Amino acid sequence: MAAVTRPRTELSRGGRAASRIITLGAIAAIWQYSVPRFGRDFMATPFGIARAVPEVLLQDARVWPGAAETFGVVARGMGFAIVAGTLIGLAMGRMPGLAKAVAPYVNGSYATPMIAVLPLFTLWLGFNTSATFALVVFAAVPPMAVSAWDGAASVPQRYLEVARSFGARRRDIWFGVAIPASLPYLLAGFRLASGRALSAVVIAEFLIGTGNGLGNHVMRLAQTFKHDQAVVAVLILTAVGLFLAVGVEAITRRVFPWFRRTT
Amino acid sequence: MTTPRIRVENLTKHYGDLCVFDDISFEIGASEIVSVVGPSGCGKTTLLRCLNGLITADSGRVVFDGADVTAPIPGIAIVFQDFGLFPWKTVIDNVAYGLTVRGTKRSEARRTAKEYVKLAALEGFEDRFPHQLSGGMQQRAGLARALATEPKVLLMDEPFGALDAQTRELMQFELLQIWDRNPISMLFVTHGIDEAVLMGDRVIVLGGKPSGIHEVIDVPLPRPRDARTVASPEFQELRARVWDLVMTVRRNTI
Repeated sequence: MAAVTRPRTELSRGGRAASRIITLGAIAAIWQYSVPRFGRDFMATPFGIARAVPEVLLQDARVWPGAAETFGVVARGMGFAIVAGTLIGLAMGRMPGLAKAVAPYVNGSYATPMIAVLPLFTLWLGFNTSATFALVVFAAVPPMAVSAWDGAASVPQRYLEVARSFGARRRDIWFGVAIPASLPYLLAGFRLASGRALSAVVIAEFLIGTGNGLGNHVMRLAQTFKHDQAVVAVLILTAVGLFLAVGVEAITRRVFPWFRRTT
Repeated sequence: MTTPRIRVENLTKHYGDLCVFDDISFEIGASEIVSVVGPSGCGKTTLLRCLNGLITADSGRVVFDGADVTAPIPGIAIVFQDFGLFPWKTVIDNVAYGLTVRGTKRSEARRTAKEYVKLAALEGFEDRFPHQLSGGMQQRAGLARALATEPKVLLMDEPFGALDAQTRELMQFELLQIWDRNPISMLFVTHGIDEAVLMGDRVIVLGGKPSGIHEVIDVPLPRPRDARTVASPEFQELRARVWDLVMTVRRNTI
């Protein structure tokens, strides 16, 4: 008899892929069937989108420069948010007094709908990518800070004790113990922050309207009834969003083999 | 005995209303191993942490080489029960930690660490992460990390308590061999009565409410000690005595 292992509720790799393709096929079939019957003739359909893929990716001169502009702002905003959010959260996690003083404002900016503050940013900074950058930062810093705060506040006591027993100073504990010990929290923060950053950049591009980002391009395509092409441009945003949410964690596991391992 | 390496004078520690231990005094000589046994909750571990300044006692003092210990200082190192290795550091960097955190250059610290990795029989595992090692190997790394700081006093906090019985026995004899080559002062806190007698030149039995030193037993067994020591009638006799004492304080404590 075969060795008894854990009960298998998951599908195999191939089974999983097959199940997903079937799901996609079912959605596409219903969609393709419904549009001519219930919809309008400019609406995107699966076949139309498939036909538009090479057109948009290879021939549309505005897609890649637009993507570069949009993801450039996301990258700069996330870079800023990772550093600032981690430092804010680290300080809050290691200094409970500071956390008490700052928590309402961090939580408050997290709770504020980001779209509501965009008019303020455009007034201060103008209708340009500075306002977009500011919105991305506003969206991404709070989740980063809150996660880093959780992480830094829940560093296992034994690591702190070991560090102190060997004479670690505050700086060693913050950067040598608290940060590596809270890597899972930081990664969770990154997932939340990058999702919000992508939303923020597209919202800002939609509402500011003067730029040449991918969001602007989606808007233009939609308004000129090129819905198949617009969906392809949206799928580029989806792909980047998925990569930030899932791919980054996979890379982290590669780079840090000890990640999520306890001893 | 010449001047003691470390002297504990009238040490008292409370947590709120709870008195952990009261008025504890003893000394550890250079090259002496003092074992501490006693029922759970008798303050063994707290006492050990007071000795290197991780915890500050309410009254009394700890004097190390003529100076009061108020904060962790070089010269006193701890080996922890749960090993306390950093999972994000490789073996070599864990062993070097006590040096780098005190400002030694990384390359130099690694060179020193390498010697202690060898001493702890972990050669070839330098670049492994803790989760890739067995419990025994992790604790050898914990021991190497403490020894790499070249301490004059080693504080052992139930160091083999988290290991399985076989590994524990092996580690006891390995530690004795390491000590024979480099006999430094040691405070050995343990639950194991055999272990306390095997390691110690003296065994302190803690107990009572509040906890205090119930009795100190000299262990005049010859060194080097090894597996034959355990088989000797002298060992068995001492072991039985300590066992009786621990059972007595246990009854009086609970």
